[in-house]
Amino acid sequence: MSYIQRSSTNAGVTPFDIAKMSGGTAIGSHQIFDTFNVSWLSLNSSNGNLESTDNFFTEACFSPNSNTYGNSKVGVNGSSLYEQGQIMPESSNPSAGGSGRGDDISFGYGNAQFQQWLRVSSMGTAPDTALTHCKIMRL
Amino acid sequence: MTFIKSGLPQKLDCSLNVYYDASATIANDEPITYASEDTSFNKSFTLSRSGSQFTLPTNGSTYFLEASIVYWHTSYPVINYNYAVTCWYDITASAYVGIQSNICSGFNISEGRSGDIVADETAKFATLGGTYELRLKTTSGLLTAVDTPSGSGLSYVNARALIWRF
Repeated sequence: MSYIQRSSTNAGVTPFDIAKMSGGTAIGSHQIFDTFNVSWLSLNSSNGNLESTDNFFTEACFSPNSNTYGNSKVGVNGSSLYEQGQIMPESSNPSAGGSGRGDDISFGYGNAQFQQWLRVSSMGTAPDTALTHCKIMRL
Repeated sequence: MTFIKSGLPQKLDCSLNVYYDASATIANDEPITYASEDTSFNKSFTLSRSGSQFTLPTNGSTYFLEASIVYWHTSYPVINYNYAVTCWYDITASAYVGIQSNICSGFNISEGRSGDIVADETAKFATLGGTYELRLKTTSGLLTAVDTPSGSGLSYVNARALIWRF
């Protein structure tokens, strides 16, 4: 029979985490993901990057703070269009979202990533920090 | 007795293929082809691909497929309840499989009210192998393409397909 040693620190080495914006940290006009649980991840407070010695995959979903009209795109700055997400509030305005729309989720891969609003049209620019989140997987 | 060392580095043992440049004939039950692959993720694995079809080897691995398209149209503003539903399709079994996606146009209230489903915008399926393609299951309204044309402006995104191997 084999046993796994119970350790409070084992929780810190899981390859999964959900980062939040609970700490209220901002880089310029960008709220950043400053709250996470795993020990292998760190925050670069000078540029907003989540960093690790290993590569990790992120999926970020931002929640807009407006529910009337608008369109926003999220992702890692400089990433390709297919890695980015497009988010709209629920709206009965026929112009909301323009002429096209894809998935809400942006994703990225690497050992330093800064998921953020990339472009906002016709809505408040600050995300709802209580609802915005970023799934992280260490690969 | 065996112990796992506290603080042992743990990673997901997986590979990831990322595809983009989607196109399709705009009609119900038409396949969607992702023409390009992004290998910059450095996690890719060898996968047989022919047109819209991905063939996943049966070798003990588990595969997770997820894909989304863009609801693209040329009329602006849109005043109707428009949507597109996609789903993975098992070529061998001739059957739709997995979780459907529902993507609305700019009139966002249609996403939860039309198409007989309330769903994610990403079609998902997990399998041990086989041949699959993403299909445009049903559409409504003014859909003219399943991806954003190049040069369309900064507000838009592109379709993508991710295939994970665990």
